[in-house]
Amino acid sequence: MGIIAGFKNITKSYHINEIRIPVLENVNFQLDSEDMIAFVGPSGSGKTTILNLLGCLDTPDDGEIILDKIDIYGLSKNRLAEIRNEKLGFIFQSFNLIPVLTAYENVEFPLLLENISDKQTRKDMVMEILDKVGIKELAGRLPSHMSGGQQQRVAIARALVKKPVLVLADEPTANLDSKSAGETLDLMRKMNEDLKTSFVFSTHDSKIMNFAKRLITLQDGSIVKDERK
Amino acid sequence: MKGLITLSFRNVLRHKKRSLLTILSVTIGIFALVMSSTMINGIDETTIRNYRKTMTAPVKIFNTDYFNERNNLPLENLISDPDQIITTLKSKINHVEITKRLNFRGRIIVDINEVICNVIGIDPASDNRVFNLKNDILDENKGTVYDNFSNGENQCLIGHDLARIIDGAIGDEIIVYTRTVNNAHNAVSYYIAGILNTGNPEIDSFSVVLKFADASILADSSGYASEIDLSLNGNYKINSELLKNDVIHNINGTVSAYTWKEQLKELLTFFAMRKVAQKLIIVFLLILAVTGVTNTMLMAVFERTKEISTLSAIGMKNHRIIEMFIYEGIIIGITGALFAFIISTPPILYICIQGISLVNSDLTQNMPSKIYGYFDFSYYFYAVIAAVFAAVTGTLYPALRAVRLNIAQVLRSK
Repeated sequence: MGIIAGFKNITKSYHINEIRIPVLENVNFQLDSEDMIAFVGPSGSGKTTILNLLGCLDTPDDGEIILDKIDIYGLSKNRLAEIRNEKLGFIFQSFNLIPVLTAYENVEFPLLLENISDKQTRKDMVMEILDKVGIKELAGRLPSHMSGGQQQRVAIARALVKKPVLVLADEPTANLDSKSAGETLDLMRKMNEDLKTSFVFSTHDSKIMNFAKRLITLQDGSIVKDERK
Repeated sequence: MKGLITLSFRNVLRHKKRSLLTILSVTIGIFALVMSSTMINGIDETTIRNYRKTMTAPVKIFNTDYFNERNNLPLENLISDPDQIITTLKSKINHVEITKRLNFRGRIIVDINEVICNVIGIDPASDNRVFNLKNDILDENKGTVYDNFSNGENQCLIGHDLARIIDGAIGDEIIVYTRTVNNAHNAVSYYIAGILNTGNPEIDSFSVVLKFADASILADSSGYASEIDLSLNGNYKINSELLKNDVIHNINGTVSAYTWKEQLKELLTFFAMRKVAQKLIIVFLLILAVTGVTNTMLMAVFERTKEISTLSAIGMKNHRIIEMFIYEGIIIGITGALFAFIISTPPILYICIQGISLVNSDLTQNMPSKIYGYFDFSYYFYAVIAAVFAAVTGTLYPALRAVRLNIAQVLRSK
């Protein structure tokens, strides 16, 4: 296992009506590859901000973020988009599938962005991951014709189809019933084991806290506890 | 990128009614553009064609002092030796067809009423080789009617609107009154040999055509002519400028030659100004289309902020997002143009082939009595370019708004 990502003295704040609201204060951590880490803490503690910074969706006020040996500070928007496409996968609380695309096309889309031009190669990759997440037979369905659990499986497939080094999951079970939530977590654990992909969660869900290999607790923008189980 | 086009196409189909309304606004804009171009250019072309076949020869010779006053049809500054000029030009210029005309104002007297008219004196044989009045006679036996006019005594041709006004028919007697060259009063009676429907309102509504000799007697003009009209034999292509140059070298300084463009200078200037106004209307329509597309695409951006942010999160670059919206705009523009093509083709074909008759309409006072559309397929090309331009321009601002979204903030919002 190597280090896949790290924060060094990260500070982040938001400004509302010129009032500075600190969100993260001097945060430091390193993430190992093939790990399953959950950031937990009360609302406003900075969990989602950490995921956004790790996911190159936001930039820190100060500090250094290393992602797969790349210092992402100061990179252009296009380069950050490339890094997101090549190295990261995202799973959102409300699935965020593209409603006009079928399950197959949603999963295929990151491959098109990566300019994998051979249709058969794309098809093999998409069908393989859809098979792994157990919804191969739903490939032709639109998201609106699928249950929440099935949609989240498509989202997981989309996140994993390029075999990223890190998958960021923001409250992935918040919109699922307990049965679907349990199945989704089992699926992610299986993917972690099969594909050796690291998962980082932001969550309030005790189920995720129980199944994560490492739990980092945040409070008021600072890490107050970092425990490996 | 095929995937991007597929996504754009499905996005357009997502809100079918809204997209259809936007497409319809583009369609209506293009339809208006193509139809107005066809009609206006048709009116222009028809007007010029009618003038050229009835009044405006490729090259005309006037007395130098007559030209600026020619619209008043004065009996002053006439050409005193028209036959000598004609003989000279015929001997010097190959394949030339020449005729002379005498034009002046008159009045038709019917009972106690008088109707103002223009009297045109023509030499029937040579006139028909330069102009084509014979073909515009409202009778199945045009040749016979024209022969009756040419060979009969005191015969005249009369415009169909003027005939309607005086309730005149073939064989009826009319009295034409005028002031002669010497300002004396003169009136002669003529018989209507035929009725003309030329499409030129100056002929159809106002003119009585006499033989040159008869007109000369009526005006007491001693064989003088208002103008000498030149064309080339029908087998030869006419270049008015070259013909004018040939004429200039063979006439003396008391007369001058003018091409048809110089003769119709005011009319052509008016057409050019109308084209400018037409272009302004097109620009206005384009602005309307751009506004419509911008409005639709802005709504699309606001509704799809989460999707756009998701696409950005999974690695879609900003220029690809802009491309996606531009493709949506292009799809709307091309579909709008296609609809416009479908709905405008039948009326355009009808107007171009059948024409629109304005006979018995008050409009004929200022316009040809029958107009034909003038259509060039390049109109569609330009219309599609305009539609795509409008759609892409209308899409740019919303697309730029889309890429300026704060992804983290949008994805954080529930």
